[in-house]
Amino acid sequence: MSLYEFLGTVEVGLIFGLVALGAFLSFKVLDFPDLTVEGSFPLGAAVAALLIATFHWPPWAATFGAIAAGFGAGLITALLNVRFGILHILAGILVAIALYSINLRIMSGPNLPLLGAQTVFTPLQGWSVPAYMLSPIMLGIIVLLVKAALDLFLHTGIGISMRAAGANPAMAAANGVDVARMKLIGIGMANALTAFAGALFAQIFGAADAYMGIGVIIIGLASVIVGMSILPTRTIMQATFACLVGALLYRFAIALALQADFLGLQASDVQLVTAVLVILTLVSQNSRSGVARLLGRRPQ
Amino acid sequence: MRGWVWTLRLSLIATVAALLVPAVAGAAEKKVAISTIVEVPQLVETKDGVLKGLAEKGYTPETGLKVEYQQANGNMPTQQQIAKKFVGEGADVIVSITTPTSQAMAAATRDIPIVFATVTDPVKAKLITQYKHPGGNITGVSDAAPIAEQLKLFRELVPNLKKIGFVYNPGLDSSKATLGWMQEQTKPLGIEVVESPAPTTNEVIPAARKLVGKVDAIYVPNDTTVVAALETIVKIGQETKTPVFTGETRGVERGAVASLGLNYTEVGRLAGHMVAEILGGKKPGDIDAIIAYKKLPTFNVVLNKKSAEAMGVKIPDAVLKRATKVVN
Repeated sequence: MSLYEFLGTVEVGLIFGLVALGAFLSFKVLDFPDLTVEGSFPLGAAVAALLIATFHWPPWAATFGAIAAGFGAGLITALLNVRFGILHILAGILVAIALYSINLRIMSGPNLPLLGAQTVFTPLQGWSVPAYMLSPIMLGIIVLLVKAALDLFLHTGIGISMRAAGANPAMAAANGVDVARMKLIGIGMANALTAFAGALFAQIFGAADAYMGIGVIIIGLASVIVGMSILPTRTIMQATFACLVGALLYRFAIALALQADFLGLQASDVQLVTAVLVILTLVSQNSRSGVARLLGRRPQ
Repeated sequence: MRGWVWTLRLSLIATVAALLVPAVAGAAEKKVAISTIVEVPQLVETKDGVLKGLAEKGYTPETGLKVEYQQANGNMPTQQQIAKKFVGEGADVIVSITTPTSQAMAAATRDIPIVFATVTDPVKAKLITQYKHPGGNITGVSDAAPIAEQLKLFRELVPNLKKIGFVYNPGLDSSKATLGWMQEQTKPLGIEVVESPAPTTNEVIPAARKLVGKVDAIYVPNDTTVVAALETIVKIGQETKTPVFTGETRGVERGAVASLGLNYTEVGRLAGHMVAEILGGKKPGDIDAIIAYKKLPTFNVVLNKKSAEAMGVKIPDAVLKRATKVVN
């Protein structure tokens, strides 16, 4: 693997770290399997691309616009669930498929190019260090700041109420927590994080595309699960860190699968190789019992 | 876990070693890196066409050409990683098939020559600013269909053509562009385009059925989603005697009545020739980007007699004489 590819993998991994933080918030903290992200990731990309390419907003303002749009999308999903009693998974699916059409409207078509436009990464050009080395550093700082902010939030009054609402809604409600409100805020935040990731990804990819959301939920969830199985997750700070590591590992699994041609594998086998690598990671995490199970022996 | 961390480490060590040791492999070895977003027939045909075009110009694995091929399984983050891999490992030319693939490559490098193929509107996709002498590191081949000429053919086959159905995936850039051109070309002829969107292959059946009785013919553009279900549309066309036309000639072999112009092997071949020119020392910015059908010496007219009969189309002798190829 070249340094350029390595740093590129880190870049994509860090961006999907934001998706993983969102998935952590919805799936783990709120126990709300939120599928809206398949739509809110391309929504973030679309809104950012529209504001940058068509309205010539400064890239950061456009990115914040995308974050707000993502929050709105999550809010609608949560609203469908808590106000109208629609099953959480279905509510997410409904909003995600609606967003497919909305994204096509936003971009007035399926693809909105950002090639040559000003992006949040443009200021990295023209330094003595090449931009491809600076952008993972910048993304690393952004993602760690977001992680720290999320950690802090989950320790505030609202944050603790949110965790309680997810862990035991009946008990939380009995203690005066407004569970519905917690879901609204939490799912909104999770999708704001996802849309943030979508906005950053579009600016690195060179375009926003209607099909950008494919597989985002799987990547996010796999990152959370991989990260949380191999690292300690006793505290919130450890858990969110594990999500980021999981997102990076997932991208490296794909990078490795892309190199797998020497094993006689072909391009279309990448998905299978990725799945096997993730399974191996999960199986071997608890090394002794995991490996024993892999070899067909019973753990001691 | 430990195993693949080691593989990772080893590959890192190997790469570092490769960076430190100057390349000994002679200057004769050339590398072409090809990528596409997803493997569907049209795109695989494009890729095979590129290799064919290269072979025609004397570049084959036997003569020292190294070819790397990666597809992203429809996943854009993976596409992004492939772009970084190609640029990081270096290539003499990158061939990018489809719009998003080309955009990812263009964002990843301004130095390595890129030849795009099967991008319908490269100017709108911001890959190039103009076809003639595009400048920069990008040139390539558009797969835009010769709509005006195709309509002329369709009207010969269906003389009372007043309404034409257009089944497409609104999420694909190429189909959106084709729809725009189709509307432009049909307006002066007094033909109405009836849109029928199918965002996934599963939705092609209802989208095609919806058109039955409302249109005089169905047109299937070069849309990967819809072409994947072409046989279904052909069946509906036969059952209801609604003629089905396609944007590329390969569709006729699969049961459409007729098409005119290009097929994807040709698009790839033309791109392959460009790659060969660049390998020969030309700058991509000096090679005009082209629309594939305009480079074909004569318009290929391909007809399917059996389908024509089944869909109630009587092929005039004049058209039959002009045909480059008649299936069945």
